[in-house]
Amino acid sequence: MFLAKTIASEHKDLIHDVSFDFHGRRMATCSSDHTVKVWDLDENEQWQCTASWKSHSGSVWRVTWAHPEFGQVLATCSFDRTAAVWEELSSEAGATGRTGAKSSNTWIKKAGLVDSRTSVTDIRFAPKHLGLQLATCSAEGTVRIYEAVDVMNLSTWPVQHEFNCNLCLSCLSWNPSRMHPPMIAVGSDNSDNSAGGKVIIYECNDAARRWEKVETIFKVTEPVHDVRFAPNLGRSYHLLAVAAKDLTILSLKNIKKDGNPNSGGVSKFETRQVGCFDDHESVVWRVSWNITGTILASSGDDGCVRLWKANYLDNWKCFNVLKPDSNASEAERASMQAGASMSTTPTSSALRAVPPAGTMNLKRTSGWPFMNIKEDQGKMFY
Amino acid sequence: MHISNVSKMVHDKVTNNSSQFQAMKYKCEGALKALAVNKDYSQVIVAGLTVFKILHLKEDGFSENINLRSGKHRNINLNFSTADVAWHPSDENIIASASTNGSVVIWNLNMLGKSKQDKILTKHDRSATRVLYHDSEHNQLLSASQDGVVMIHDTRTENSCIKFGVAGNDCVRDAQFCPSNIGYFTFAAAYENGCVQTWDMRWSDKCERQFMAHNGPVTSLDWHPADKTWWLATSGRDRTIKVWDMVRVSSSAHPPSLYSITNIVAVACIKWRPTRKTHISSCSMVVDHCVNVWDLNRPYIPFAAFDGHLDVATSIVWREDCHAFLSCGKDGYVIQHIFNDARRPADHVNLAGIDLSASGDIGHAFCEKKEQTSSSLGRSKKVSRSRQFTQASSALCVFFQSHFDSVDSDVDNDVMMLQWFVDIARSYKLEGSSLVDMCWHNGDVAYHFNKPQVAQFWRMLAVTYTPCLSSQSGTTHNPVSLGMSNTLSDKQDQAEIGGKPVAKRSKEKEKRKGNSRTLNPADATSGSAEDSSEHDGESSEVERIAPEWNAPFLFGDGDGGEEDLEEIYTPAANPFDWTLQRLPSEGFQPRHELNPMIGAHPHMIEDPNTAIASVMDTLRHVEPEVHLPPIQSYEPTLVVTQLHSPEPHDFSPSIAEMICSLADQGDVQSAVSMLIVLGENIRPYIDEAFQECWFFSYIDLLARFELWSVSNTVIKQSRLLGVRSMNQVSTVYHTQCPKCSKACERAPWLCDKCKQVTNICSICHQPVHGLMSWCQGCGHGGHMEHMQEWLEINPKCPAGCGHLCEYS
Repeated sequence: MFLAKTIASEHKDLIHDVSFDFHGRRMATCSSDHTVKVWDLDENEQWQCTASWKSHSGSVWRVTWAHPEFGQVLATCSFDRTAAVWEELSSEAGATGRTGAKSSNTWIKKAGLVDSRTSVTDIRFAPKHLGLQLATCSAEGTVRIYEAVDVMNLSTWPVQHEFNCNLCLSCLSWNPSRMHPPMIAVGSDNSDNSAGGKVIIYECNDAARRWEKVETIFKVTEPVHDVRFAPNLGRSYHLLAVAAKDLTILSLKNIKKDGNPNSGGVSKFETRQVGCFDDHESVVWRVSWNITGTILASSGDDGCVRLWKANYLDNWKCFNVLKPDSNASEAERASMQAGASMSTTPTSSALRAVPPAGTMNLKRTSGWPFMNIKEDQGKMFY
Repeated sequence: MHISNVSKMVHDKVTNNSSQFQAMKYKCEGALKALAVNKDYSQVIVAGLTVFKILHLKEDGFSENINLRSGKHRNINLNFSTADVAWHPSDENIIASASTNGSVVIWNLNMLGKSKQDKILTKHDRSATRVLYHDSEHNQLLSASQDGVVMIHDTRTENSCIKFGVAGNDCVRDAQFCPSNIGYFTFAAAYENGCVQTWDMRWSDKCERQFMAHNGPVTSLDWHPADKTWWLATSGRDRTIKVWDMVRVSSSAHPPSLYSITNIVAVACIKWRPTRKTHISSCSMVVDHCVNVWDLNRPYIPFAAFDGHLDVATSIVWREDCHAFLSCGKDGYVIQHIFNDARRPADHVNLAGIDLSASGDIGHAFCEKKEQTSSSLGRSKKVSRSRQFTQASSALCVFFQSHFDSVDSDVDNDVMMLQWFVDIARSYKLEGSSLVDMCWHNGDVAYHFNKPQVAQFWRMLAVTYTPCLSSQSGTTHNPVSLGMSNTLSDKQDQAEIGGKPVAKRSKEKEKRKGNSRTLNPADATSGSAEDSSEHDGESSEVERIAPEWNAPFLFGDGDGGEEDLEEIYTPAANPFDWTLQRLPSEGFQPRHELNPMIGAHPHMIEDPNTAIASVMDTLRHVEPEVHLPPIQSYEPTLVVTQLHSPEPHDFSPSIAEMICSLADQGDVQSAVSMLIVLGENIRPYIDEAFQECWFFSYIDLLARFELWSVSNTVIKQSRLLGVRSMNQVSTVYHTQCPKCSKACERAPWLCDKCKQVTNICSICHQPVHGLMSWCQGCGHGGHMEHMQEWLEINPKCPAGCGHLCEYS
C-alpha cells in the first residue's frame, strides 16, 4: 500500500504545482510565495530541498522539467505575466548535489519570456521528438510556442507560433504522440458555462505552417483546471484527462482521411468519453498520468488523491483513494514494522505549521485598541 | 483646446448589496491624475492635465457640478493642468491644486465669475507633484515639487512659506503629513532616488531621518491612519510596497521594514484601507489596470482586486467605512468600487498540485483546510474568510510504496511501482538464441513477474513458430490422435494451415467461458467460418479478456502446452473447414523450412534489406502462383481468400493484430520485445510508423529507468533504420595534439597545425594507431608491446631522456 511522507515544504503560501523529473529522482514545487524549490531524493530515499530561489514577482503557477537530454532545465510561469527558463549550474556542487544533503544548488535564469500581457497560466515542454520547444498559455487566451535557437545555450527563445483562443486559458497539454503532427489541448477556466466547450484541440498544420483548431470538446462546459494527454506509447488513440467539476477521460481516435494525410487540412477525430467521474464530490484541480498512460491520478478539492485505472473492457475505475491523514498512521505502522529508519512522519501539525506571517511586533498592537482581541475584530468589522 | 461641456453620465449599478453604496462610474473627457473628496463625501474633484471639475457624489451616481476648466480659451494655461488636488479640511469652498508648471493654485468656489482662481503661489521651479492640507492646522498647505523642495505655505498670508530640502536635489514624488494624532509636526517625503525623509515642520534645516526605502524612485507613501501606529508604507518603481516601523528604534537609524509586498509591476500609488490594520490598496503604473487590496500577512496574492478601469488607475480615496472607495484612472473614469463586488484572486487559484513519477511515487501538494475556529462571540463568516485568506498554506506530501512489503502481491503495488517493468526488461531475452527458445524464455519471465496474459502470448508465439524445428528433431512429443485429419501426420501441418489460429481462438473462447474441454462445435464452426478481419477483431478481444484467466488454465512449460492445445482443438474442428484449408497448405511444404530459419535466428539478420530476406520474400510470393490453377478450378470463391492469405500469412496478421492490441493497452514493452524476437516474421504486417513509435516509446521508458544496456540491445535489434541510427550518431571522437592542443581532424595521429605526426612510438618511430602506453613521468611511450619488451630489459626511458620509467 501507499505510505505518505509529509515534507515540510517551507513554502510560505500555497503550492500550485509539483513536478517530477524524467527519472523521478527530483521534484520541483512552485508556490504563490514567488519561489521554486527543487527536491532531490537522497540515498536514504528522503526528499531533500537542494535549491530554493525567488523566481518571479508573482504567484508561480506551474513548474515543469525539460527532458534530461537538454540538461537540468526547468520552466516556470507566473502571474507576473512572464515565463522563465532555468538551468542548474553545472558545477561540482551541481553534479554531487544529490549526495550532499545541505548543498544548495544554483539555478540560473537563462531566459525570460515576456510576451504575454496577462498572467501566464501554464507552460509545457514539447515532447522530445519535437526538439526543445515550449508552449505557454495565458489568461488572455493566447498560446505561444517558443523554440530554443540553440539547445546548448538556452538564452534565446523566439516565438515560433502564436494563436488566440478567445477564451481565458488555464492549462495546456502537448500530445506526446510521435505519429501525429504536433497537437496541443488547451483548457479554459472561464466560469461562464454557456460559453461552450472549454477544451479545444489545436494541431500544427505543416503545410500551412500554423496551428489550427481541430476539435472543441463540447462535453466539458464547466471551468477546466487541468488537461493532460496520456503518454501515447504507440497507441492508435489518444487519451485526454480533463479536470473540471468532474474528472473526464476522453479517447480521441484519428479518423483516417482519404488520400495523402500530408495533403493539408486538419485531422478529424472521433471523440469518445470513456469516463466521467464526480467521485471527488467537488472541483478536480489537477490530473496526472503515469509514464505508461495506464494510471491516472487526480487531485480534488476534497484533499484526496484518487487513482484510476482501466479494466480489460476499457472501463475506468477508481482503485485507490489516498488521504494524507489516513495514510500517515499506516506509514507509522509500516515504519515500525520495518524497523528501519524510515522517517515517514505522520502529518503532524508541527510540520505543517503556519509559516511565520511577517514579524509583527505584538507590543505594537497594544496601541491598537480595536484590534487586539479576536472577538473585537469580528464585532467591529461586520 | 476645446473642452466639451457635454459629459456623458455612465451609471453602472452592479448589484444592490447590503452596503449603502453603489458601484458607479463616470467618464471624463481626459486622463485623470488626482481625486479629492470633501469632508462629507458629497462632492469630488477630479483633475488631470486636461480635466478639472467637481462632481456631485450621490448615492446612485456622479453628476457634474462645476467645470473649473471653463472660461475663455486664452485664459486656460498650465495652471489648469493639474497633478494633484486637495480639498480644504474645513472650508467647503476652498480647493488647492498642484500644477505641472510648478504653481500651486488655490481656488475659491465662492468667487463670482467663471474663473475661481483665488491665489497662485509660484514658488516651485518645476512642476508640483503633491498638494495637501494639514488635517489639524487648516492653514498649513504642503506642496511638493520636482525641484526637490517641499514647502509649507501659510495660506493666510500671501508669501510666507517654509522650504524643506534643497532645490535642485532629486524630485519629490510624494509627501504626506503624519496623522496629527500621531505626529503633529511630522511629515514624510518620498524622493526619486529611493530615499524617504521625515521632517519636523518646525525645523527646516535638516530632516529628522533619512533612509533608502527602494531601489529606484519612491512613487508614493502613506502613513497608517490608526492611532499610535507609526507605520509608514512606501511604494516604489521597484515593484514593492514596504511598511516601515518609524518609532521602533532611535530616529537616526534605518527603520525596520515590517512587511514587504512584491507587485508584478511598478506601483504608482498606495493607500491604507481604513479600519483594517493590515490592508493596503495599491494601483500600478503600467499594464495592470485594477486596484488591488493586499493583506500584509499574505503578501503574495491580493486580498481583493477591483476591475473597471480601462487604463491604469492613478489615485485612490477610501470612504470612511472601508467598504467603498473611489478611484480615477488614465482612461478618464472615476469609479466608486464596492468591496463586496471585488474579485478575490485567491479564490481562483489552483489549490493542488499532483504528479506521478516514473517510479510510481505520487507528489501531492494541497491547500490545508483550516477548521473554522468557533469563537465564543460567534464571529461572522466573513472575518473567518479573511482569516482563512491569510493562513493559506499547502501541505506537501509524497505517496510512495514501501519496498519492504513488496512480498504481498498487492495489485496496486504492482501497477504503480513498475518494478516489474524493470525486472522484465532486464530478464527478457531478445538476442542470442532461437526464436522459439526466446519465446519460451520470455513467456516464463512474464509468468514469473505475474503477467499471465503476456506469458500466454509468448507461449502461443512459441507454439506458432515451433513446427519446423520439431519436425527436424522428430515427432516424439506429438501424440497426434486426430480422428478426422489422418492427412495431418504432423502437428506442424496443423500449425501451418490457416485453421490453427481459428482453432486456438475457439479454444480460448471456451476457456474463457470456463467450460474447458467441452467444446461447442457450433461456436467453433462459426469462428472458423469468419473471414480473417473478424478473426483479428476477435483476437484483440481475447487479449483484453485474458487477464481473467486463472493460473490453472495456463500452459505449463514446453510441450505440455502444445499437447493441451491439440487435444482441445481437434474435436472442435469442422471437417469441412479442414479440407478446404488443408488443400493449399500441402503445396507449400518446402517453405516451412525457410520460415523458422528466419525466425529462429533473428540476430543473424543484420539488415532487413539483406539479400536473404528479400529472396525469401520473393519465394513466398512466387510460390502460391505456381500452385494456383488446380485450386482455382476446385473451388474458386474460397481460393480467393486463400490467395490473400497464403499459408504463413494466415496467422501473422492475427499476431500483428494482437501485438497492436497489446500496444493499445499501453504494454509497449511486450509489443517491442515481440517485434524484436519475431523479427521479419511479423514486421511486414505492422505499419512501420507504429513500429517506430513503439520502439521510441520503449527506449524512452527504458531511459527513465536508466536501463541503458537493455535500451542498447533494443536499438541494436531493431530492424528500423530510424531506430538503428540512434546508435550511429555522435560516435566520433577527436584526438588532440599533445603539443598545441588542437583537435586532429584529418587523422587521429596527425596534427595539421604542428605538421607533425603525434604519438610516435619511441622505439620504432612509427605513429601508434592502437593502444599506446606511456610513462606518466616523462611522457615518452609507444606501442604497448614495444614498451613491454623494452622495459623487460631496460628500466630507463627508451627515448633517452634518462627517466626511470614507471608503469603501473
